[in-house]
Amino acid sequence: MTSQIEVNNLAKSFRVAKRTSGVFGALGSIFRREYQNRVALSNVSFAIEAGELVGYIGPNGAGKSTTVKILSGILVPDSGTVRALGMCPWKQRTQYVQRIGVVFGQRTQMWWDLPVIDSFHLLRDIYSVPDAQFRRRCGELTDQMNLGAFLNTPVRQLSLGERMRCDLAAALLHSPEVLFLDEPTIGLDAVSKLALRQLVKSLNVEHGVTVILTTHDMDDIEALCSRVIVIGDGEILSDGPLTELRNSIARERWLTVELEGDQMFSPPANTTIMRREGNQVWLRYDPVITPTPLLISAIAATNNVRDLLVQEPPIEEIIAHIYQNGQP
Amino acid sequence: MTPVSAVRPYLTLLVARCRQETQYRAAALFGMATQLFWGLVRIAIFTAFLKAGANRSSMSLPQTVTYLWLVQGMIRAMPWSVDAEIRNLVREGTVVYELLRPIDLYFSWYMRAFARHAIPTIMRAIPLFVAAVLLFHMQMPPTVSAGALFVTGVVLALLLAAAISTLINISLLFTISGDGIQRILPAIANFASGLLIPLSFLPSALRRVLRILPFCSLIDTPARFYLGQIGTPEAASMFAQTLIWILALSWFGRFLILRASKRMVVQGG
Repeated sequence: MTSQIEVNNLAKSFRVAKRTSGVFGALGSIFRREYQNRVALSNVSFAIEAGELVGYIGPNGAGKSTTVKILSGILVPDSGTVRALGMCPWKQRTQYVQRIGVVFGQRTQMWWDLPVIDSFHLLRDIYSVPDAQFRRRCGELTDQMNLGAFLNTPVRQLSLGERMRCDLAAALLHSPEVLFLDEPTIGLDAVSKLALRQLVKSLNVEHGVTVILTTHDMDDIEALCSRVIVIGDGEILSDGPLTELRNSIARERWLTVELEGDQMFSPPANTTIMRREGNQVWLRYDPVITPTPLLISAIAATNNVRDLLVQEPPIEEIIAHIYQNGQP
Repeated sequence: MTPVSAVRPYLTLLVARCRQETQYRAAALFGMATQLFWGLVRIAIFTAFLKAGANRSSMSLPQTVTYLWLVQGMIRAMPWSVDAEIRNLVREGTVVYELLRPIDLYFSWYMRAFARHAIPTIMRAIPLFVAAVLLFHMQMPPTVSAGALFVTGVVLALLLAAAISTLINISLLFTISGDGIQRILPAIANFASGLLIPLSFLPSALRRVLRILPFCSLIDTPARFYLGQIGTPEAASMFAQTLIWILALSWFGRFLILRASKRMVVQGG
């Protein structure tokens, strides 16, 4: 069986007009323009199975949004192929978009002046959703996302969190099989973020919707994604489960030691002190070379320890490492 | 898909848009007052010219006055400007959502443009004509058939205006700002439609050219129907001409929008 979404050797570059600064530069550009080629994607391939929840991450300008735009059929690549839901997104755009949902965190697809429910009705007709199905779906989404209180409020008067929830509901009214979320939690407060994550998770688990999520928020990734694709400079740097990504970088662990009082502390062999503040010491070590139980007993034997805490390095560190080095 | 369900999304968009346009009732009222004032000014000017013996046209003074009132009523049918909302969509990149919908972008923009011309025109023209007939020497159509031809002509004018407007809106996908076309188009359209000077007052060679262009169908042609200057057989060929323009401009617009969506680049995250 073929995958739900198959991407092969995708490439896209943009022509950007180069301007020289100053008056003469501006005058000159009237007659002669120079263009620069900026490669957004150079050779991207991956496959996504139905029901997966994939995180798609990379630094700004890495080609995340370009990929999402190509996958949703609104941008045509220079070369490469995409086969999604058995179609080519940009060639069979109208049929294809009927079966996908897209949310861009920074834009809204609802009608600014209309109450939320009117936007929903418009979308119902645009996507030709049968009335009974629409009512059931709209009811479900309203309950799940707690939209009841502002269904009759014009979109322009909603807070960002409320608007995001409505936008997500709007993208789901036609029961899409694939959902693209482009930075859905950008600018949201902690509570709204958690609510949104829960929703996405339940959509994926209960309804089997395939979700492709781009984000800069690593907590989103940790909370949601079983698989992470990392892209940088238009190429895929890493693709796999989150744990694999972690291990591929460094099997590093962090140990925080809280000492009794302000005593001397010398690090055991094969560990490094990252920093020390008062009676707290942060150590970094490799759990394969120095097994954690041995390290702890060694420290406890030679020091007066009040507390110990073992952690994995935050995912941000790992990602930053990949971004900087180009590969895991 | 049945034909009805295929058309339904566009009808919904049309109705939604019309409902939104009817919200601007205060704008319509003040717009009408402005139109009334300018109408009186223009009638004073034309009356002065005609009484001075400058009339070499086929139109009498009362007919000219009626023509001028028709112009004032039809002013919102003129495709003068880009749709500010579409301009914002293009500037901010929200236009991507328009492409994410399973409908034909051209027809959905066309519906929007039609509502944008039709509703304000109806809301202003009817009360303005009533006031002008009662108070300011506007004539009624001489025959029932002249009235019927006029109404048909107005419907075609609105369909044509929507096609031209949509074309201008599509140009935003290429130019983004649309400032250039917003300056040049009204100048051409005002003159070529008969809005500035009834086409009957122009030299016959120029008039012949202008009556081939699409713009005369916006004002001059319906106005001549109203005045009873055109018989039914001649009217049929004029309707045909307008229809051909509507179809040609729509085809061109649809062609452009398809091309634009192939090369469109929405920048930023």
